[in-house]
Amino acid sequence: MILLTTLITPIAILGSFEYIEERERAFYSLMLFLEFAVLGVFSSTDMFLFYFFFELTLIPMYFIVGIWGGKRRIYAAVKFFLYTSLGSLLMLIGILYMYTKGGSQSFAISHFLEIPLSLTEQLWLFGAFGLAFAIKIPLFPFHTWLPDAHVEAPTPGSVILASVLLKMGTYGFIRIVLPFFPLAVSSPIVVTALMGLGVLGILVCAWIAAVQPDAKKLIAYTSVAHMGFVVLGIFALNDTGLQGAMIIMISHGLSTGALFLLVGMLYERRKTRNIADFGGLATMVPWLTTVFLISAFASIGVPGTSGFTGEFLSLIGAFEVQPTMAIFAAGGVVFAAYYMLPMIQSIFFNKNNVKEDAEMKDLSKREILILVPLMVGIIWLGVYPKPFMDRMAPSLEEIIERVETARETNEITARDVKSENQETALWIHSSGPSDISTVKCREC
Amino acid sequence: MDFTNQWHYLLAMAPEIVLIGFAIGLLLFGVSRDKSKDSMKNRDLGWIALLGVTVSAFGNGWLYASASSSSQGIVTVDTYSLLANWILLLSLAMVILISVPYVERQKLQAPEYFALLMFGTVGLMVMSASLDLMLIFIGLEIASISIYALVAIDQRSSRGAEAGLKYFLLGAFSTGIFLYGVALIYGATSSVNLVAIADTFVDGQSNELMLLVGTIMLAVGFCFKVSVVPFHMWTPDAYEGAPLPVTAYMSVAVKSGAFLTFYRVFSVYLEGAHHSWSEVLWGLSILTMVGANLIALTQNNIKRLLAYSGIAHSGYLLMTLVANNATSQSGLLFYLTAYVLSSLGLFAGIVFVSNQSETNVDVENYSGLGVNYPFIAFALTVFLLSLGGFPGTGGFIGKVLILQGSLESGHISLAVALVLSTLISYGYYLRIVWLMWMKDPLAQDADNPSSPTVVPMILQLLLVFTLVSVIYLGLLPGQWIEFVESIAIAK
Repeated sequence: MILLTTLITPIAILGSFEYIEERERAFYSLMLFLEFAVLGVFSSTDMFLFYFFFELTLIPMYFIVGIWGGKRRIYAAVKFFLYTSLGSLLMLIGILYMYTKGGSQSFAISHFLEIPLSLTEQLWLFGAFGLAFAIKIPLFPFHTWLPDAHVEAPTPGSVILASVLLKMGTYGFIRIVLPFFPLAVSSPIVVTALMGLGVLGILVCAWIAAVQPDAKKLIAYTSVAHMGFVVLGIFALNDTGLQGAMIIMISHGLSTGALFLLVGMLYERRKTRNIADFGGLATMVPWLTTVFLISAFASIGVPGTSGFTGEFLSLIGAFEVQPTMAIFAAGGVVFAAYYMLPMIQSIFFNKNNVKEDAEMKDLSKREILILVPLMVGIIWLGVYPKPFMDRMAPSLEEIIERVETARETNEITARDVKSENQETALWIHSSGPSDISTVKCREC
Repeated sequence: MDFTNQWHYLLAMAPEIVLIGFAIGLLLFGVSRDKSKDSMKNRDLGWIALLGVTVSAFGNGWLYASASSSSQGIVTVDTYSLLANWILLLSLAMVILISVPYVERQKLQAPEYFALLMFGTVGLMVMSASLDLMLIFIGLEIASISIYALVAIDQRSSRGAEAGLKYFLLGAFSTGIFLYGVALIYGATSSVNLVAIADTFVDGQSNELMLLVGTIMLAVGFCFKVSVVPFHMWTPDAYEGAPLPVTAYMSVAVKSGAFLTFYRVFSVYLEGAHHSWSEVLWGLSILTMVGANLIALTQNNIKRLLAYSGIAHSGYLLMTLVANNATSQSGLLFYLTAYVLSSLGLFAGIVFVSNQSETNVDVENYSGLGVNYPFIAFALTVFLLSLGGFPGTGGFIGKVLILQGSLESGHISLAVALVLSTLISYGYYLRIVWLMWMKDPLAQDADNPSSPTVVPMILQLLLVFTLVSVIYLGLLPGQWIEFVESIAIAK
């Protein structure tokens, strides 16, 4: 994730040379401040610091949206700030509760992992932490701040928001929620509810995106849909699903970042973002069209791009656990094509005799420099994702193991209380590297 | 110091005595000075007052270093009272600094003005160190009467007179309730000495009902002074009518002085009745946090807005009393320090924007401040975020300590109320922030006289000092937390 952040921020800064025309000094210092805070989130091993940086990212983003944004910028900035801090403040209570529970000695994540918590406590704390991250991701139905913030933010702001800030939520789920609250996470109700929300997010947002006249807003909604896939992958709670989720996170960072940059470039040229205002650009700006197509394909999940790898893996992961959900979610991929392709067709291929389009310039050297690394990343992840997956595997396995063990304890208690959870008992055998866990199960 | 002879008792009161001496000197000077010559300017009077505060603070430091502690008689000297003195002296010094340009520009009666500020502080200091309900009452009255006069000190301002009268009437009412409570407690325990009262709980000889009613009335009296909903009605009016530096003084010094006393009396000496008053305070605390923050959302006048935000802060502080454990005590002290520093910084900025007078007090007047005066706008942003409790500022660490304290006592409902009301408070703090940075300056005409172009040196220094300390408390809180944890209330 650090790699992604350090890759995206310079790109976003390069992408802002023409967009930001006033108070440049403040803008660039805020961008660097934002990068500092995000890196802090991804590298902290202490819950207090994690919270500190998690909140700290709000300030620069608030100003970036509020000062350099579009017409309704203040509304969007305030909504963004209040909405996200609602979640994180409740998380603070959760953190402090665990701290008190653990004897008030240390905020280190490793220390927090050892705190024994009952199922009820875990469920409540899961609610507190989960809400914070769900708002950040944003998981449907907590997504309403996102389109506003994205549309009003300046291009570099949207790029960072989509590529990096949203990842803090999913990162939080994988790194913090899963290992901290294994009991809560593996209880069937929670899993079903979150996967259900993920699928709903994919479908509903795809549906909403299909009717957006504004290209930027359309892409903002696709973000929500992608994050639905991530959540689906995470709560499949197996290797495949988690790996898929991680790949989507990176892929989404690359492809959506690129799309926002491209829409920003179109906006700089024409001062409009309405899909209907463009037409037949393919012949005028072939390079821009190519790049746009690649990123859009990655966003849809066409094989050969990074989007395909990620979505495929997380769908397989989900299918092992909840086939119905996975089938519905797969429908989302079709939807993605349904809203993306008409947009591309209308902007680049349809005939439209607007004079300005004819005079439009193709990508400049600076713009090519920005986009090339993104394109390379998209295709590399699509064709040969192994190096990434190998690096992720060890840490993910650890998490999975923790959850598996907890699931068994859950099983036992559930079996004692009522013996209706036979369906869940089946999961254990079907999912992932369950050799160790099944042995343990027999023992107990 | 071992308090073996009378002289030591006098020395233990050194900070208060020094302040009184300087204040009387200022008053005498005001009477005797030759008005026609005007040899001494008001500014110099401010410096003299500041000198008095410094000497007093040194005396306080000497007491702290000599590690004297005594809880006999009616005044105690313990680390808690010494820290209270420091907080009060610090706020007094900064208020004097803010006042110097203001008094000069508004042509207030400088000798009386500074002397009253000092008398008020003496009252608060005596109050927070006293072990006797009667002495607490006297300290409270010294402070209150000085403030009544200060609120109305600008003779040309009719709003000031109105605010002063309102404050006086309601204040007298609350004092009555306070005294009634003292009388009932005396009736139940036949003592006004706090140590003796605490002992009756141990012996179990107290007359239960009478004592309970007395305790609750005492609490109500304090709640008036620290302005807790629903006893807050006077606050916005008094804050709005008072001269700006006096508003700053009320929201900082009076609040911390009264609260420190409140905490001392209830958490230690009336702890035996904790079960009875903690539930009442629990309700008041939630009501205050949520209610005040909601009302603050609708305010347009910056002084009224800060009045409601101050009320909300009383609600947060009340949580420490309800939780009543070691963590929440350090939370109270840490939070008060952070609150004092950020409020004073904020008021320094407000005095600047208001052009050292009573103009430009609407929230809209802050539009575009970030364009014209980036440093001041930056400092104000930090102070507002600190009051809102945002990470990286002193207010955040204070809030975390308070939250932790209440969680340790199992008051999850209070913790949730705190964060929800914090969320509401972001609403109005951020409103000022976006006005400052994201709006263009107002068009300047007769109604909106322009802000001054030069920032007075004093205000700049104050802003830098408070800014540095607020951020220091936020980023490196360790030292101060340790210090605060070492503070103890003598039993």
